[in-house]
Parts: sequence; C-alpha cells; structure tokens
Amino acid sequence: MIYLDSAATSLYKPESVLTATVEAMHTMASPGRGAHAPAMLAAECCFSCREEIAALFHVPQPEQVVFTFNATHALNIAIRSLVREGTRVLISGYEHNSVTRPLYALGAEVKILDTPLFRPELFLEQAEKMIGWAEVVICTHVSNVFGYILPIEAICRMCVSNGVPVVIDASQSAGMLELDFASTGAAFAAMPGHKGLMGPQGTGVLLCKNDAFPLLYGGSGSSSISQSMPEFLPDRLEAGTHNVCGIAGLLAGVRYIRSRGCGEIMQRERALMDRFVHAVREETRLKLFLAPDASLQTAVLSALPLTMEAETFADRLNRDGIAVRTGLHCAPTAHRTAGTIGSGTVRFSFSSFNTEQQIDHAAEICRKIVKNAEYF
Amino acid sequence: MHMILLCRSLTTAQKAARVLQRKGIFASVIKAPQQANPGGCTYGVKIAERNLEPALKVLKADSIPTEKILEEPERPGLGAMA
Repeated sequence: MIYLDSAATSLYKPESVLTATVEAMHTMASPGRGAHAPAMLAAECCFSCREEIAALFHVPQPEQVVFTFNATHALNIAIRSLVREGTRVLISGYEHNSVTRPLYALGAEVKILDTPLFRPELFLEQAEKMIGWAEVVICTHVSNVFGYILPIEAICRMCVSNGVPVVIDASQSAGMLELDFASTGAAFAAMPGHKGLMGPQGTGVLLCKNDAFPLLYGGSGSSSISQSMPEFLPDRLEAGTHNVCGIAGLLAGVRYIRSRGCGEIMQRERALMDRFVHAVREETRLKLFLAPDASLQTAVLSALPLTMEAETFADRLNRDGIAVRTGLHCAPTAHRTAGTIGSGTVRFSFSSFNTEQQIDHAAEICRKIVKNAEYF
Repeated sequence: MHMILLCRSLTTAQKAARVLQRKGIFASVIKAPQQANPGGCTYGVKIAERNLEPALKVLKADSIPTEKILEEPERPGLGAMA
C-alpha cells in the first residue's frame, strides 16, 4: 500500500513516536492526579510537550498550549469562546466543516470570502472590504482540499489593526509551515497532533492568546473544591484524563520536526509532489489543481479525472494499492468556492516519508487508469 | 529544611521549577500535603530553605504566582504554615 493521504492523518511516523507512545503505556499514569512516580512522569511528559510546542510556534508561555483530542475539538473551544447566536463571522472560502458546522449550530451570521483558488491578492482585497462588518474572523492557513496557502499573516495583521479576534485553523500547516503565534496576534490557533506534527490520533493542540470558555466540565487536577472550572490555563480547558500516551507520542513528533525543521520537511514533500505532477501532467484526461506559483501550495494536490467519476478513479487506485481520499473532504465550502461541489475531487497528499519509487509507481498507475477509463 | 511554594496548578508548579532550575536553584515538583490545601489537589515546588528569598525574587520577576509558603512537614500530615 502506498499511502498518499497524509492530509487525513500521518500514517508514516518517525520511529521515536511509536517508541514514546508504547513506553508511555507501560510507565505513565495520569498527570495532576497523584504524587507517585508514574503520575509525575506523566506530568513531566505533558509539560515537556507544552514547552516544545510553545517553542515551535513561538508561544510566550507553555500554559497557553492546551491539549485537545483533535483539531475539531480545539476549534470548537475557540469558536464557542468567541461566537454566540448572531455574531458576525467572516470566514475564508476554504474552511472545513470543523469550522462551519459549529458556526451553523451556534446560529452565527456568516459571510464567506469566496475568492478564486490560488489568488491571495483577491482574497485580501475582499477581506479589506468586509473586515469592518466582522466581529470574528476564522481562517484556515492551508486548504485541506487544494493545499492552497492563504495569506494568514496578512489577514491577522488586518484583524489586529481592526480589533477583530481571529482564529487560525492550522490543521494542514502545523509542522510544515512556520507559524509565529505571538506575532500573528491571533486569539487562537488550532491544530491536530496527528497530521503534520506526526503524533498519534487522539491528540490536538489549541494555542490560546488569552482566556477561553471551557467546552468540557470535569476534573482538572486543581482547585477541586470549587465547582467551577479553574480560571487559569491550561486547566480551564482540560477536563478529564489526558491522552498521555498520545501526548508522549506527540512530544516525540514535535521534537522530530524541530530537529529536522519545517522548511526541510515542506521542501521534501513538495519535491515529491512535483515529481508526481511532472509524471502525470501530460495526461490531459486528468485535471490537476495546481498553483501557478509553488509558494501558494503545500504538498496537497486535488485532481479530477475527466473521463470517469472521481469515486471510480479513487476506487481503482485503492485496488492497485494507492491510498487517496475522494469526495468533498469534509469541506463543501472549499468545493463550492472552487467550483467542484458537483464532482468532488481526488486528493493526493504527500508525506516526507514517501519515496521516489512510490511516487513513480503511483503516477504510473494513475496514467494507466485514466488511459483505460472506458473499461471502468 | 525545605520549603514548599504552593502553586495554583501542576502546570504552574512545573513552570516555576523550570525557571528556578535555569537560575541555578534546585527545585522539584511535589504534591502538596492535604492539610495545607483545603482547596483540593495542589502541587508545589520544593526548595531548600536557604533559597527561599532568591526563589521568590526569581518567580516574581517571571510573574509566576505562588499561593502559600509552608515548611515541608517532617512527617506526612503535619505540615506547618510559614
């Protein structure tokens, strides 16, 4: 199986992540609950993970790094801290359902910056016109469907200068693109631990500039006598037992990324994607959603076969051992903006652990399937 | 003799310990004695008594709050408030 679905979750992970996760299962208990060695070991692991993440994303204090169970959980905390019924929220045209569904559930008034794919200048132009209306802005750093890198620093500057809190969805950028959280002035940045940060599933992170409202209420290992969640981070947002094994793996993943550097990882992934594109681009029956400027796209590539259904194409790829994702990718907003809501797309997302041989083989299979479309 | 600087949370205690260690003050995170902590689970930072004043200065400079200061009990459950 050649795994080209890293945008969903990182199947290929550094060996250190596996080792750390399993080791934690044997040795670590629950932090903040006991005074015995396994509990203190768990506590040390969690704190170290906060420190590493704070360093990676330039977060002033480790307690501003809050553990969640995934990016969706993190986004729900952020959104529910800022949005009520009728709150005017401006979002990009490339948001995931983990942003749009909570907004819908809360009854927010939402406007979408539905500008064309890979046109950041048009995005900013429209944002400039609408920022005066917005009470909150939520923007993905990178589209999970198209790999489109949105001008997040510019959007944050615009929001800060207009006094509008901004939430960054860093689900597809964390571990691949640099993000200086403190400099952005964003209220929150949400990310999963299991994609670019290479940790296990069941982990996520919310970076918090200031306070937030709890989503879950329960034991925090502090101020137990009080029936309110603690007033301070991270305890306020971390009710219940942590996924300590997951956090141990996440710590190993973040250390790996810091040792290798986001830039090098992104460079490797893009080189693999470019190799794939070079091998298939002559095939005119396969439409590729490729940015004219490479600096506008990560190693996530949507494609649309023109002579068969996207589902059929993906199914054939899967049968030939190529794992991709097809459909709307939990991001109908992105597909509406890009004009692919009717067909969906087939998404190839590359990992720095993929090999050139895997890429060459996947490209060959793609060409073969498209060429023989009439048989399917 | 050792002192325990009670903190509002485990994370604060860990942060305090890290900051103190970077300044050359040996500090370890411990769970606070129950009697010293009517509010429930609390953690603190244990330091040598001689380091109390410099430790408090370091923590104040880094805006790390401490709740209470107590002497480490000689036997469990017999903590004295300082």
